[in-house]
Amino acid sequence: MSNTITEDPRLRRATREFLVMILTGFVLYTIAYWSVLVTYGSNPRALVGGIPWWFCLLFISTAFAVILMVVTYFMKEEPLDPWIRG
Amino acid sequence: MSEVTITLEERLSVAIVFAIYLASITAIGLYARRVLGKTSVDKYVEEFYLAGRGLGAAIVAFIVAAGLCSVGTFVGGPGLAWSLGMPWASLMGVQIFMNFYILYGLGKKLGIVARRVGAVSLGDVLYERYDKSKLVALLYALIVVVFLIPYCSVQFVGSARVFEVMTGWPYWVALVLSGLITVFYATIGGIRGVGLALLVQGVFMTLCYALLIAGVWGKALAEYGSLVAINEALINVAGESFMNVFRAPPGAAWVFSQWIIFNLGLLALPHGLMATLAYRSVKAMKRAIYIGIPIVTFWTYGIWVALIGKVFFPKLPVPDHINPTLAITMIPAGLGGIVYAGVISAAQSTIATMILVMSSALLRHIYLLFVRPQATVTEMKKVTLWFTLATGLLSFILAVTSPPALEYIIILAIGGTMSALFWPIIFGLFWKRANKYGAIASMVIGLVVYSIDKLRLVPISGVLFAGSDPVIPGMVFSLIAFLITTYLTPPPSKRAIQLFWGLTPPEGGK
Repeated sequence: MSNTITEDPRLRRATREFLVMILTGFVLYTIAYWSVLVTYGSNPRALVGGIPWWFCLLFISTAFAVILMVVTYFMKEEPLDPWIRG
Repeated sequence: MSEVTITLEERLSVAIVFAIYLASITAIGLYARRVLGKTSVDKYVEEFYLAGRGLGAAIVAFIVAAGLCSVGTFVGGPGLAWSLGMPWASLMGVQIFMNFYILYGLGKKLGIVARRVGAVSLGDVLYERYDKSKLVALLYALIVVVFLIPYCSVQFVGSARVFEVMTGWPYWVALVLSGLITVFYATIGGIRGVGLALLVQGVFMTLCYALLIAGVWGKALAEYGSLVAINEALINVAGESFMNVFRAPPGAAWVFSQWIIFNLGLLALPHGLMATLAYRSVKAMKRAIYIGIPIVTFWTYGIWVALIGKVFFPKLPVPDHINPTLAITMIPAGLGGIVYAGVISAAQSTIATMILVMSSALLRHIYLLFVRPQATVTEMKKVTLWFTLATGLLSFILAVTSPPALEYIIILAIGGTMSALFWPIIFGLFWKRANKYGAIASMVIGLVVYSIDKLRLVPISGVLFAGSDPVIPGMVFSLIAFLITTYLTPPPSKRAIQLFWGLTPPEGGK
């Protein structure tokens, strides 16, 4: 069906951005976060770097906050007019 | 320690800040009303719900952040962190990228498509995408109203409950004052009034956790000397299981399903997605992400103060009282009012955005489609105000019942909305083959499976999904229904494909 219309490149990029969001914000973040949860979550006294393990969650979230802001930086700024040509 | 003594000074502090806060929010509502008053009648509905699609970065950031970080983040979530311990507190990272998910993931697509079809709500987008299916629009409106009214209602309850704890004055005083003012400024100011109020509310919400974090962590470190000692104190006070993420109950499946609800589930919440229809430019949207991520991270990890609060208050009559109790006891007396203003800000910001979403759903998908399709713009202007007032008041009336355990009602509302709307939204925006039959089947099956499991009529999640929240079977069955029905029925019209993917308008216009 995609062959029957000429696609708006902005909307094609929007689909790519959705996939990037799923990959970075959900899949990679979930893997990183849950790796810590699964590794230490059942051991209340576990320490990482001399502090309680659950502070790793904060560090991972902060690292991803920076990563996702960098990803956002590369999002193309384009017009929102309903219809464009070219 | 189950009760705290409230001094006159503390009561006055809360009352004075509360009064200043309410006065400023009322003034904002009146200002927005003046702006709306200058709008021509034919543009009134778009101006009321979307501010003419001209919202800047800060307001867009706070529509998502403050609209979604409700009393769940300031009252109910801390209550669960205090009562459940690590199974809840460890999930704090889940919601912090809400601005990124919604704006980066869906913002550009919804922003362009909404302008193409003249959508003023997510329901309009779904209606156009699914070939103007009235059933899709009706289901959307019913789901929004059924789940958002209780969600909205607990916001009233949360803020009133905090007022009760912090002043010792009756619950209904704050309920009436804050509730009526929220309904007032949302009704007369529309999204512009709500958005401007959100800026003020965002500041109070940030100050609220700044004070609590400084007070509680400061006292804990002063008393125990190190983070390891605080951890040990928590284990001593509440037991090892309190600090074990995967203890049963609630168990690993439940913890993971909460992760899904507060992560992907955010993509199905219409009041968060409203921002994607109203932002001014992609540049403003990107800035809204930069603003939103650090702020939500700060608010969300602030919830850990409630976990730490367990060492100071191992017993409380109601878990949701933990943050106000900490505010009274751990920060200087004159500043307690700011914490209360932060909590009420969280509640009001969510209530106001949800009221607008419910009102637009009733107006566009019930009134205009089924009751008065030929309504004039003047009639629509009047009906917009009445629906906004009615949804606000209905939520307010439900709040009088003062339900316990607010966070569970929030989970119920997000879970129900997600089970029914997640796949129709995502497939509608990103899968060309998706059609109205699949969307309808998905909404109905998702809703039914979620409801019968949540009401424990059939224990689907317990039997098939290892004790997860019912949202998981709801999502899975909703997905299956969407895929099977879509492939068994004809593809969508070329018009819909052209509108949602095409470079040029469909023949015959939109």
